[in-house]
Amino acid sequence: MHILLALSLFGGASHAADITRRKSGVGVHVANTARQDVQGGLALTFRTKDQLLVRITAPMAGAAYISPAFGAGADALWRTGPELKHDRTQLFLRYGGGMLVGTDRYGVDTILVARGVAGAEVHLGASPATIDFELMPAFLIAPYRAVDLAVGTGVSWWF
Amino acid sequence: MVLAPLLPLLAALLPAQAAPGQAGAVGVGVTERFGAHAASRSHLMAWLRPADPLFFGVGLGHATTRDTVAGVSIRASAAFDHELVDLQAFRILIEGGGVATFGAADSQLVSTVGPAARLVFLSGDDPISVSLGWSPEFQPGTHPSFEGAASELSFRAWF
Repeated sequence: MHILLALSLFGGASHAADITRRKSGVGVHVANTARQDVQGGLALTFRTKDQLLVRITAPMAGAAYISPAFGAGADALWRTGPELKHDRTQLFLRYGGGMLVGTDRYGVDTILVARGVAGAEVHLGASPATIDFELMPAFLIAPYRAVDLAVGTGVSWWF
Repeated sequence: MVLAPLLPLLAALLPAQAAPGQAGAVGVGVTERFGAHAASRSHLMAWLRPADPLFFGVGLGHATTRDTVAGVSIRASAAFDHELVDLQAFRILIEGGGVATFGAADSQLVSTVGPAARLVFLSGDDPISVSLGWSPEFQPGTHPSFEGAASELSFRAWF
């Protein structure tokens, strides 16, 4: 509750209708890899400059042939748009990339994933909430090398 | 990455401000399929409704089947819908059609084809729909198989 209040004050209340001016998004983001291993969990997204977003996800870090695993991901995303509108509901595009760092459930192997992100973000007109759909091509660097593709879905409430 | 540049193009080609469920609407979303023997997969989808009540979808995602995992596929979908209930706050539609996927997994070509029947819940305030349905499929290939107990969950945003 205190975190939400702090984020609300940080984001300011004067830009209630404009999602592109809100500064913090709190929600969930889950991505399924090609083996249906799961990445993500809780998601915190910050708008740092213009429409450059930094998103942190945790605690799931599954990747190709590694499941289950724990860790955190960080992505830098550029938001463009709105590209499409319907009344107050808008669609933005988001591009970027990031890293996923974690460990397997035994704490033995380190997992390191570099990934790209491309997708769409829907801002619901009736509330300061967004839904995002993303393709995330990924390169598993450690503990071995493999190529992966994750499909992500997230929901965020913006302050 | 592949679909994102298509959205502004589709929007430019189609009539502006087409309402959800009307000819000319375009959509974006994600489809999750839940099947037996780990044959679950996710696709990021783009949708087009050229004429009421017919619409098409194409997407990029996983190629997981009963015999193969960790692949990439293109999903093509065609369907038509019919309104069952209009409750102002949301509408319920029934939807029927077909689905096919073409891809590669475990160093072999993978394809599936099958019908689909879904119930669709369409929000009255935002152009967001959620559909849940049954989609059995035939998986030709080295070991042809039929998967009858598969379901699909889709989120779509229409513009």
